[in-house]
Order: sequence, then C-alpha cells, then structure tokens
Amino acid sequence: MMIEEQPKWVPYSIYIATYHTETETEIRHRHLEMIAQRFGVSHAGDLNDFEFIKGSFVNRVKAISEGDTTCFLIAAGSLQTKQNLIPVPSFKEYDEQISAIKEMLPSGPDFECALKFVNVTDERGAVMFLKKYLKDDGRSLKSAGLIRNYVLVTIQRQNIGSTPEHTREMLILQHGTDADAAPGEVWALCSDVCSLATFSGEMSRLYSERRLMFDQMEASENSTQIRINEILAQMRRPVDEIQSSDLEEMLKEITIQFSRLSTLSNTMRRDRVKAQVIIRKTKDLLKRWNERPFDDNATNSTSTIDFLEGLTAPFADFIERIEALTAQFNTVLDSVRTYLGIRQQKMSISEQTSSKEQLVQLVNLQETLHKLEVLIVAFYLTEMARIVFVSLLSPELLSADLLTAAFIPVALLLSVLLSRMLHGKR
Amino acid sequence: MSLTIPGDWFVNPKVLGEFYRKYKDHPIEEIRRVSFEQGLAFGRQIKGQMGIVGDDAEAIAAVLRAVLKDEPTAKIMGVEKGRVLLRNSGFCPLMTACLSMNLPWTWLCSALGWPFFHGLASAVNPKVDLTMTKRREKGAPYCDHIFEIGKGRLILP
Repeated sequence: MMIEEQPKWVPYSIYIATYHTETETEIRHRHLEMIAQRFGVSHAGDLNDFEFIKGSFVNRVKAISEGDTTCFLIAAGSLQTKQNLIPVPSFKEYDEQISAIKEMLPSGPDFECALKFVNVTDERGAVMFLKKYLKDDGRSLKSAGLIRNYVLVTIQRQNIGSTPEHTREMLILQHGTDADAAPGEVWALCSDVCSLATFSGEMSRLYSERRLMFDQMEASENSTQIRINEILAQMRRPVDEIQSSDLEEMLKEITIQFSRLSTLSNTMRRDRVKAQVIIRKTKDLLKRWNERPFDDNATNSTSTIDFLEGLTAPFADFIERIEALTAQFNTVLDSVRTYLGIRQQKMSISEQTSSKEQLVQLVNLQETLHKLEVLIVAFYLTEMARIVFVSLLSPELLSADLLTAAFIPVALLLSVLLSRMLHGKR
Repeated sequence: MSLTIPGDWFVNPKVLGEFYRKYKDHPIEEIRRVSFEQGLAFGRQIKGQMGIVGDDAEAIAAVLRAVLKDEPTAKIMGVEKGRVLLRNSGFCPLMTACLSMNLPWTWLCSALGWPFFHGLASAVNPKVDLTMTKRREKGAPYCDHIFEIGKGRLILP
C-alpha cells in the first residue's frame, strides 16, 4: 500500500540508518525493491515510503535523501492497538520485525539509531520507567530532555572505544498526549531524528575519511621537524662551505614541502567548513525542539552538539599544526634568502675592489700615454724647427744643428702647453 | 577493459583520482601486476642511464636513490647484509594526494605504491622480496620497505 500522509499508528520500535552514496537513487531503489518483494508489497507507484502488515504487526519502510546521504527508516507498530496506546510494549517482538527488514539494508551504515516508544502517565512516570529500564538493562543514561510532550532519552552506548560514536539508542517517553494526536507527534519526532542521524552520519564519515591523517599527524610533523632542523643546521655552516648546488637542493625541497603543506591545509580547511555547515544545520533543527532539561541530565541538544564539535576539533588542530610547520619553513626560506643576500653582497664587494684596481691601472696607463704624447709632440716640433733652421740659415753663420738642439727645451715646453690646452678643453 | 596506469601517477593527484574512479572495482591483483611492470620498466631505464651494475643490495639502493632523489620524504636508511631499508616519513606525495582528492590511502598504497617499488628493485634482481614491515596506514609512524634477495615476492604482513 502506497502512503502519502503519516501513518495513523504509533511505532514502538524504530531503526534509522544513514548511508553515503554517489548514486543514491540506485541504492535506494535496489534495497527498497528487495524489501518490498520479500514482504509482498505492491510494486505500483513510488517505493520510497510504504507500509505492510505482517501478522498482528504493521511495518513502515521509508527512504529520505539529502545531498549524498540516504536515510532509511524502519518502524514496527501494532495493528490491533491503533486507538489504544500500549503503556509498555514488549519490545522484543517489535525488534524482531525490525531485524527481519534491517538485514536487507546495506552493511556498514555511516550512522544508525534505534528508538523505542513508551507511553507514560506523566513526568514522574517517565522517571520511574527510566530507572527500571536502565536497571534491568544494566545501562546508564547519556542525555535526556523534554520536547513538547515527550521525554527524549539517549542511552549511553556500551564498549566506548576510540572510534567515534556512530550508533545511538534512544527512548521516546510520551505523556499527556491523547491517542489520536500521538502518532503524528511521534512520526514528526522520528523525522527530526532522521535528519539528526543524517547530519551525524555525514560528520562521522567526514571524520572517518580523515582519521588516518589525524593519526599520522604527530609522526609526520616530527619527521618534518627533524628535516627542518637539519636544513637549519646546514645553514649555520660558514658561508664559504655551502655550495650553490646545496642551496638549490634546499630550495627545491622547501618548495615541495610548501606545496604539500599548502594542499593539506587547504583540504582540511575545506573539510572544516563542511563540518561547520553540518553543525549549523543541526543547531537550526535543535533550536526548533526548544529542549528543556529533564531530571538534572544533560540535554540531547547539548550532547549532540558536543559530539559534533568533538569531531570537528581535530580538523582545526590539524590546520594549526600544518600552519606552524609552514611558518617554520618560512623561517628556513628566510634563512636561505639571507644567506643568498650575504653571498651576493660579498660578490658585489669583491667586484667593486676589482673594479677599483682596474681603474687605478687605467689612470696610470693614461698618465703614461700623456707623457708619451708630450714627447712625440716635442719630437715633431723639434724636427719641424730643424727643417726651418736648415732652410733659413747659411751654414757659415750659425749651425742649424746647434739651433735645433737649443730648441728642444722650447719644443718640450710648447708640447706640454699644447697637451694641457687640448686635454683641458676635453 | 585493458588496464593502463598513467606514468605520472605518483606526482599528479588529479591523475591518481581519475585512475581510482576508473579502476576501483577492478581486481586489485591485476592493478598490482601492471604497477609492478611499470616500476620494473622504470627501474631498468634508470639502471641503464646511471650505469648501475650488479644485482646486490648496493645496486638496488642505487636505483632507489636515483628514483627518489627529489623526494624529501623517502630516505635509504641502511644497506647492510644484503638488505636495503627504505623509510618513508613526513607528508609523502601519495598521502597528500589521497587527502586532497579524497581517495582511499590504503587501497592506493597497496594497489599502486608498493608494487611499483617492488618493480623498481626487481629491475636489479628479479628475486628481490619487498616486505612492508611498518605501514603508516596501519598506524605506524613511518613506512619501512625492506628489500632483500628472496623469491621475488611482495610481502604485506
């Protein structure tokens, strides 16, 4: 029978399981179809929500999809007591109904939640029932709160290990609601628990996918720290001992490490944002509950938010530790830069000294050239003067050679003056 | 479907992601075999280029050193008594790629990483065994790869 509205019967035992799937339609249809076939449910119409009768029990199977998560709800109630609520039902019979259907769902859900419904007279009756139930079952209470006419109780799970909680057991203790209104209110609460299971499942999966990385952080951080120290020790050596190839290798390594740390940090940031979105959606839902404390216990809202925030904390820690390593690599990079700067400065000083020496040599060369220039000019002047003296004077009166010799100092003086005039103009 | 492993899978996370999505349901033994063959071919190429001779632990270490020369997280810790110890610590490329592309770390190391290293060493001596004595995906602080002459097996205790 296909149903559109909420059933008119009360579920006494409910099982909720969430699965992550990239092809949710396929998984949903396959499993719902298998359940429908096994329990003889008609195939007409959509199989996302159907109920069927088995003996004196009525069962409901529903699949809800949100994003990449599919949530299955299986509920078992009594056909014979549609109008009269059973105060404390025999859960074993209802649980057997649930088990028969549950085994057809895929294994390894991200999150699962088992709920039981109990009708009590008032809040005091709820306290009494709870005490007896917990005592008989040898369990303890984790959180409880008043939501409208219900006391919603979360039972402490057994075998608490290091793995994050991905199962939850809850009790819905109803009081002060008439039999007609009860089914609608219980189904509404179940729908909210489905949403909470979806959010918790998403968070558990997000955490589980990163768990290996969280576990590895300490060791990876240590070995990276050792490498940083090694590089810094290398940098402490005298400047002349470090070769350019060493610096090149260091820079290559720092670049590789930087890119990996940046990838890790950005990925964790992305996941932390996803986790924060899940927490925000959960808080919005819990706000609508307006849950009040019950008998000095922590409320379910507080407990749920604590659980989710507890799973988000490692993301923030990881990012912080990666950032600390990045900061250290920045220090190493600064050291390499400083080192290169000192080296460049040394090279520049050496180049400057070398240039100065070259300049002095050039000046000396120029001075020598100037002197040579004076001598050449004086030689030419003397030669010219000799030609003049030979042509003008008769050999009998005065020797031209004597006059030429006497002209040499004058020629030298003239060439010095000429040289100064020419260089002075330049 | 014939299986091909891109040549740059160990440095290109995108390629790694595409490979996983395509072959995640493929028999892992076949992926391991192809990865081993890839490592073997690469090892032979390096051996030829570097002029590495011999088939002992020193030659295996020389090939591994040449392949991993630009990888700061992998280090040959010791070569003694016919054994080579290669240790991988810090933020290794496969680990970083798995995180950034949301890929299963364990599957990729087992299907691609270790068979590839086994292939590299087998280029020197086909009888080399690779034993993964410590594995980070199992919670160890680093991955220890022991190469020693044996029966040419990949041993994952």
